[in-house]
Amino acid sequence: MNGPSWWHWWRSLPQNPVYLREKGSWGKPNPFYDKLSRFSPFVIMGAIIFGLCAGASNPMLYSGNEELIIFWCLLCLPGALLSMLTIFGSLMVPALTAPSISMEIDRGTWDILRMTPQSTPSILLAKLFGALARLRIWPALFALSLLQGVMLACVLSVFGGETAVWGAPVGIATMLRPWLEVLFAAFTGLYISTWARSGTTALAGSYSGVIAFKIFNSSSLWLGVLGLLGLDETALLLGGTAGPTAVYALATAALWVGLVHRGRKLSYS
Amino acid sequence: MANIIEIQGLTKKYGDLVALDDLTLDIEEGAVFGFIGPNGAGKTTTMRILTTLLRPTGGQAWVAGHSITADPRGVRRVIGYMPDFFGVYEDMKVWEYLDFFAACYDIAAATRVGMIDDLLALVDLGHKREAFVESLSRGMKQRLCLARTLAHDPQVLILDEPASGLDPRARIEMRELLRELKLMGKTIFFSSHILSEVADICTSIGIIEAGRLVAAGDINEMKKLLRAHRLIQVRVMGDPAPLQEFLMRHPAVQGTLSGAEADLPPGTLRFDFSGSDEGLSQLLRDLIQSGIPVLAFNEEAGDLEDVFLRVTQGIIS
Repeated sequence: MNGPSWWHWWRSLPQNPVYLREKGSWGKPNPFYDKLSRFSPFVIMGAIIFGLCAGASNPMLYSGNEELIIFWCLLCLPGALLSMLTIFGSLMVPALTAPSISMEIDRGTWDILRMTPQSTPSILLAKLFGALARLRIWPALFALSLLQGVMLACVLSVFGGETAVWGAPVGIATMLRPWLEVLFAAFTGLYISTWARSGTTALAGSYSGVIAFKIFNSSSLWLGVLGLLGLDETALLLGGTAGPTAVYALATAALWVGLVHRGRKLSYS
Repeated sequence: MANIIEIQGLTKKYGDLVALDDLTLDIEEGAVFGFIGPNGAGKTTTMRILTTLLRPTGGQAWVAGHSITADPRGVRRVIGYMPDFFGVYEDMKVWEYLDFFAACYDIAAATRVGMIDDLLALVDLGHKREAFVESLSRGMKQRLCLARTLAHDPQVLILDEPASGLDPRARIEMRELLRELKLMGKTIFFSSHILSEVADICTSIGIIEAGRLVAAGDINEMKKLLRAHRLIQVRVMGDPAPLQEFLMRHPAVQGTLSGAEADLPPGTLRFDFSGSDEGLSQLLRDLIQSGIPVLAFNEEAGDLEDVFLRVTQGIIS
């Protein structure tokens, strides 16, 4: 698909049968997600606990600046809510994307689907967006990430002292990170799905990848490592916010490239 | 009639393994082509290449004028494919399954309603319209899968072992269905291990072995080919040794099997005779004139199974 046809594809997405199937218009395509949904209260509880912990780590970013710490009470609430929502999204989305291709291969419908005039990249994207559309967190994620990003940018710009100049970049990074985290989890699921031969394998692989990445690309770890290196306040602030965001962005972009490559490979397999 | 499938020197290699070796074949529009061969001969590979699911290492093929490599989407629009391991969405209802695939072929929602009913009536699943796919028997699923291949009204149907795993009744129903599709003017390219079925419904056949097409043509021509290599049984009174000795000297006789070897009654020999009716008649005269006490002399009726066995043994090429 070239430029204009991509646009045409995007506009016709609400009528795309693969997208609609993934959303649940034809049958129940994803038993894993349905099962996980039954346990969603536990996922929500986990997200609340981890979200509060992540939200509470925010003051570390402002260490040494007492004026900024005052704003912690103001910032920690949307921060914690945003963390909860991000954790919830990151945990639910692999259950939606990981079985999407692997289950088709497993039950022998992948070839039949490929035989339709829908191209393989189009099928992959329709499945991705269909899966994401089932997750009903997007308006809240948008509102909270915007609120958190703008508030952080404003607070830093006004009261940040030496770091005031970095208010806007830090705000943008904070705004983008939840989206990138959830997208990364979705892309990981879909990418592994194109390799795995069963939904269970794809799920196991995806969750391992997403959780490992979440641990090793956390703000706390970045702050810890940068602190050990003896870097100054500005470096800590930038490293703790923009660092994980940049890594998520790079990883998501790499997965995108990988998916395009797999899409081409899967066209003739 | 024009060729709807043209295959030129199609080759598929997996490393050192040659799965398909320089396959050249033409299939006429409206033909029912039976593709037969032992397991691993290259039937499925050929079909997957023709359906654009697999890229050939060499050669080219055209389906209804569309190149499988240059215009795969064009090919996909004119063919309906049923793989040997046919998958179905068990979570869907029967009508939903057809509706989904019809939508994938860009058939408008308004058109789909009537079309689904017609397809279900054709495959005799109208009464299962609201049933979940998972509740269908294997034969019904196979018929549903066939209905799915017809959703976009393709010119060519490529069916990989359509009757495999079916009970006798379901097999007969499938055969009847293929006959009906033939009457509708569809070109059917199908593979099967059940040779009697291939002989029953196909107009032409191709026999493939170890990736090479060893014989292909009109079914009647293939049977004529078999007539040039007829199997004759002779039963004599007493010891068949003098008969065997006589036959081994005859230039048109290519191999003899004794009764014990060929699971025939005592005193009987079977041999492969390559010659005309006159030659066969002369042979019988010669046998009698040489004093061999012939009790019975008959030709075994050749069927597709014989053609297959002989071709794959390299007797006919």
